Amino acid sequence: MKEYTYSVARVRAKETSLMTKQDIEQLISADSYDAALRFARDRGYRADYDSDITAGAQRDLWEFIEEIADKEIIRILRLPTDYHNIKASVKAVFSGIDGEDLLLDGGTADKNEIYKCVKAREYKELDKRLAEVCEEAVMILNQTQDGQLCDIYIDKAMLAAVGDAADKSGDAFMKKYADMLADTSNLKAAYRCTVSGKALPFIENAVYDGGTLNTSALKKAAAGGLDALFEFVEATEYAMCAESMKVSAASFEKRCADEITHFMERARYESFSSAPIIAYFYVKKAEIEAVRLILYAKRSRLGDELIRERVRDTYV
Amino acid sequence: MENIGMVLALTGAALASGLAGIGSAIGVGKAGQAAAGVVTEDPSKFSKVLIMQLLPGTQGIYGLLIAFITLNQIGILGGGAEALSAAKGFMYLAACLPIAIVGLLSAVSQGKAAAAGIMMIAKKPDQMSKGMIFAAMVETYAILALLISILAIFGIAGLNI
Repeated sequence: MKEYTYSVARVRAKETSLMTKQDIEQLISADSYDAALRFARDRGYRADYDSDITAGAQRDLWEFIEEIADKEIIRILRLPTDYHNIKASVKAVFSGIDGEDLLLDGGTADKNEIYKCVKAREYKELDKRLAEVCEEAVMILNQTQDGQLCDIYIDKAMLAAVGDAADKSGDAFMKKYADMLADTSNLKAAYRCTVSGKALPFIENAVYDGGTLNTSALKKAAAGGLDALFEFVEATEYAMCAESMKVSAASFEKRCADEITHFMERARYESFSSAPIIAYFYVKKAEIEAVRLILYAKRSRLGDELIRERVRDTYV
Repeated sequence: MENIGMVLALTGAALASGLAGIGSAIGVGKAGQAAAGVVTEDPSKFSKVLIMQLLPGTQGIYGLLIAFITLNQIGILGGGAEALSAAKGFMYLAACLPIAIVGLLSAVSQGKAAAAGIMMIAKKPDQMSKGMIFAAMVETYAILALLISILAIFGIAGLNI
């Protein structure tokens, strides 16, 4: 097994600057947007960042990960961004809007390259797998005009890419993370299908055949209604998420994300493996997303409870 | 082959300093990687992590000590080396093995414990003494091996074989 002593030591030192539950709570209960912004700046979201201070934090996170992780790990962590960019590019091109603002930095392929390729329907510049996904997504949207089907296809392609790359890396923690990502995505997809009363053929397409769950049973349960799905989830290792299904969609999605955060906590007891690096990336990214969400919510003057329902648990 | 006793004793001394030294080098190296990681992010912790990094270095010193005593006993140091019986030479070799083997393995393990302790200091600097104790626990077994090697070498000197 490869050892990452230097990298893990850097991660441990960095972890001291992660926001705690109390910090997030304080941010949520800030009186105003300005007060929340001030607090975020005090907690390391630098003032010299551009208007969206979380974009700067995201850049810093990538820089840090580039310095400490292996190429293979970095590639896996970057993959979901590629698929987000494909999704945004395809939709922007089809709806005739300028989609460059929707694209994210941090993928394996340049975001503008993906956009350019989708726009020109010419995918030679892209990696073979990404090119195939772009081509297929464009074809689906062309044939069906159904954005949801296109999203489902791209999401499944992302899970397959992450799963394959994790298997290839041989990193046990990464494999488990990829499995959990597939499982929670499947649970969320099944839940959404059940709530919106989709029929079995649609559900069969929406659920990705991977991860650790018995997907054929999951599909049947989702088609059988909320109670059947509840019963199914109760019997899996995601039983903790089941209760939140009855509360709201947002609450269930947050609970699924929390489940991954709790898995990441196992990395606390590892000193030499890649686990703390992956965990730090995951929790810092979640923290940045939480800060962004809270700041947006504060700017739009949303109620604290509404924010709390959506903000995930933190690591420290 | 009349010098075989001397060759065996010298081999023992070489193993004691060599293997224990290799173990310490690996251990200090591993702890050093962790120390460099912490200091990259927080240079103010240099002195704290340096102490932790040095802990796995003691096995190399123990190995050196045993090698010195052995060389002294057989007369290579300070002159006056006399022919050594094969049995006595073999005994010196055997006496050197505890610190050679335990020194190697314990220094590597102590390096890991020290590296983990250094990571602990990164997160909780006030818990430094506990991190040191965890790493120092491994030292016990190196000291036990050193003790046996020393007792054996001094015991052999008095034997008339």
